[in-house]
Amino acid sequence: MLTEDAISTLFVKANEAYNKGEYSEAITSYEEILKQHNDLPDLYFNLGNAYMKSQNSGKAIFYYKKANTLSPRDPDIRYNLKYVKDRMVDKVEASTSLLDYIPPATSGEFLILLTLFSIALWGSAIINLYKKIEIIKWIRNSFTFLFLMTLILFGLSYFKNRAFGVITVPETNVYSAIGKDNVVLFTLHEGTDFTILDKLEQWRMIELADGKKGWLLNDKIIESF
Amino acid sequence: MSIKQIRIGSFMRYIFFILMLFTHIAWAKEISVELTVNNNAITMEDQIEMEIHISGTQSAPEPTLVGSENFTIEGAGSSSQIQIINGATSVTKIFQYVLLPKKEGAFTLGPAIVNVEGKEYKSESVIIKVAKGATTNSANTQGKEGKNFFIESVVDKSDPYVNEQFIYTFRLYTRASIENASLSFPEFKDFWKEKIGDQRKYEKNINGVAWQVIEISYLLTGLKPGKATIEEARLIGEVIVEGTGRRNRGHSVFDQFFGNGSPFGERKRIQLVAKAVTVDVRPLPEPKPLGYSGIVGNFSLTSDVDKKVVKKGESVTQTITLKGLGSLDNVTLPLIETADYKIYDDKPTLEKKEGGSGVIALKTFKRALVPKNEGTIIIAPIKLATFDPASKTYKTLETHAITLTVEAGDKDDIHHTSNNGIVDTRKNVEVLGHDLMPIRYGLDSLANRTLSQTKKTILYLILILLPLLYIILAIRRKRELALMGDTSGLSRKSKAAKEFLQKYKNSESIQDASNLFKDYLGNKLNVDGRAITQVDLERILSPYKISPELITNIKKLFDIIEGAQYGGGMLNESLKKTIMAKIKELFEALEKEIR
Repeated sequence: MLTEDAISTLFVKANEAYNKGEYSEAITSYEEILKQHNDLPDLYFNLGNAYMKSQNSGKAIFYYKKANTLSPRDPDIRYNLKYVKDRMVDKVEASTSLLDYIPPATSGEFLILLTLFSIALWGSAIINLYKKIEIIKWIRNSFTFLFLMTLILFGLSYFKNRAFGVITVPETNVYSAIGKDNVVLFTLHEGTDFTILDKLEQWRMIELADGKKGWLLNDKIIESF
Repeated sequence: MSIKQIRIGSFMRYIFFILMLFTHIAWAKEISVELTVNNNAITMEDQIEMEIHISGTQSAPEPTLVGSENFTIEGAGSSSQIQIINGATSVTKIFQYVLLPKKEGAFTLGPAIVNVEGKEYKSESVIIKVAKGATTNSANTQGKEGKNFFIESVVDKSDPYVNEQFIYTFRLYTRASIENASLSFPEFKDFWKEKIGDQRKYEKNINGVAWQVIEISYLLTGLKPGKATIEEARLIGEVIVEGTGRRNRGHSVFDQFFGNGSPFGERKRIQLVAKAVTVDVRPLPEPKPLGYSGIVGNFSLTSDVDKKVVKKGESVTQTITLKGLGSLDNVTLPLIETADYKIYDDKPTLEKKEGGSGVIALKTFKRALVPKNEGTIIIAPIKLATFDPASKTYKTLETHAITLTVEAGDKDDIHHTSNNGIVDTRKNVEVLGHDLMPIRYGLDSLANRTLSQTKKTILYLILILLPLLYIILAIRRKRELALMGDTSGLSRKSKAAKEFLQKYKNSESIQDASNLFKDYLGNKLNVDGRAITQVDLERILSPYKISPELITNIKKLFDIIEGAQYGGGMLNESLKKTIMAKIKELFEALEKEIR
């Protein structure tokens, strides 16, 4: 267990190593901090840069995606994620879904908003029990609407942040079922990201953004959760 | 499908477990690993089938293989064998792979290492010799007997000059389907590359044999003089071995070049390699002419204007076109201003078209020229020094001089054109490169955290507790209201006097005061006050302990009021005052007696 001072020192050391081009040392230090603090978007961002500089684009995309999940409105994270994705082998045309319309916010931010609306809603409802004032009723109804809308977004945001993975090897096959003796459905290359739908031993059922599904081995990927 | 497989698998494990109970567990202590290959002397075009047998355990994980970096390894499945001989059980797990060599040479493959319950088991190693295959980079060796596919990579020029364009072409010749094809192109180090169009498909007859050809071309430009190698191009795919299943009719290589194939028939993994191509990039001859633009190719340069007669202050658009075989991406033209006119340059446009012998580039420069003086002015010719690789000489391209007649312009024209003498000469910022956004250095990055779990728990509690609080308060309030409903009569009574006193002050007539008094009585006695008549009074008041004298006085008051109301008798002002005072007096008396 590192102290906060030790973590700060390690962070500075990692940044210095990065500046010198010693990316593997930087990665080691960043990952050491990560063991203790897995909720720092900037740390994931730096780690993504270090992996990208060490020609490991699969892991770079993974950590940029982690950073983006924790800080979805950060323009630098979004830029670097797009920068790396634009250089990948596989081009996956994402089909539009309801999840694309969710405002860029974390589930924590939705939770705070939900709590504020909840306080306003129930507070006005309690006042309305004792004082039948028209404006209080109007406030209660308005916040009920806002509360329900936020509740829907909160639920969708959890669905949007499902387990995902990224290919970390130059090329791997995706099979129709568990086992290498099954039909190879398609081949993916390093950096392609996907949602993980199911897990069975060392096999993962994945879904690409364009809806293609299949099974692959977990030693070819890096996965969240 | 997978769930069914899992269920069958679970059932088989169950059967195996039952069998285990009746047999000796002889194999558990004798784990061994064996690595075998079907061939250890191959060419670059061949493949090796490798098997790793792990005996003595059924739960072995996939083994790791030392020396695998020299081969492309594809898993071909795994299987288990269980043998029961004389009551002794032996089990072997077999992992199968297909290996394709990456380069020539002798390589040690293995040992295969497997870790079972924390202990490592190793196989022996094997030596694989990979000889030079019959790979090709030339169309001259096409159509090997018995081959259904081959690939080639060719360049249209083996000794280009620095900055001279040449074309690299990859061709796949097939006479049968290739499935799950994966194509690896060279990295084209030391070259600037640009893909030319989409892949082309056509049929070609070679020595009487019809081949389907897929062709992909790149435009390359050597960046520095010297010998440069364009690495090998590889195509890995699967072919269906004839006679091993249903033919995959109707799925040609064109349909499935990068797609999925038929599941029928036995498949064989193939690797096709097109040799590396060496290009000798020649330096440009010395001496270079003064102001040489760096362009290599055969070009033409023309210039024209949209009008040759213009008013002073108006602008003329000059269009300069540079066209030819070669790269024009980084070409700029000099701005030659004279005392006669000013020049405002626009962003040039570049078009590329595939021609018979390469890519024809067309770069168009547009400029606004604003004459400063009236009369005849000459737009100076533009010169551009280029190198023509065909004649191996430097050439200077030159446009014709253009004569403009400038007439006197009115002040307004000048005003509009020159924008008060200030012309916007700014240019768009040109992006020269892209890179990652830099890392975060500040220690505040360590404080930039998302919502902690504790805070989330508190918020969840608030979300749950608030509606509970509301429910509790709502139930309580409902009870209060119910209680208030039971005592509504009491409430009415308690409000009776208050209402009377509030409204009595404002009553202007006997009628108002009388109604008010009746309302008061109604509220006080919890009956309809306006319906009370003199006759009802005794019956209504009898349950209350009211003095007969007071009842008599109330009756009298009702008499007077009803007499005045219905009898048509006139009331003088003093009588009105008396009645009003009497009402008030009776009210006070009732307040005292009715409790």
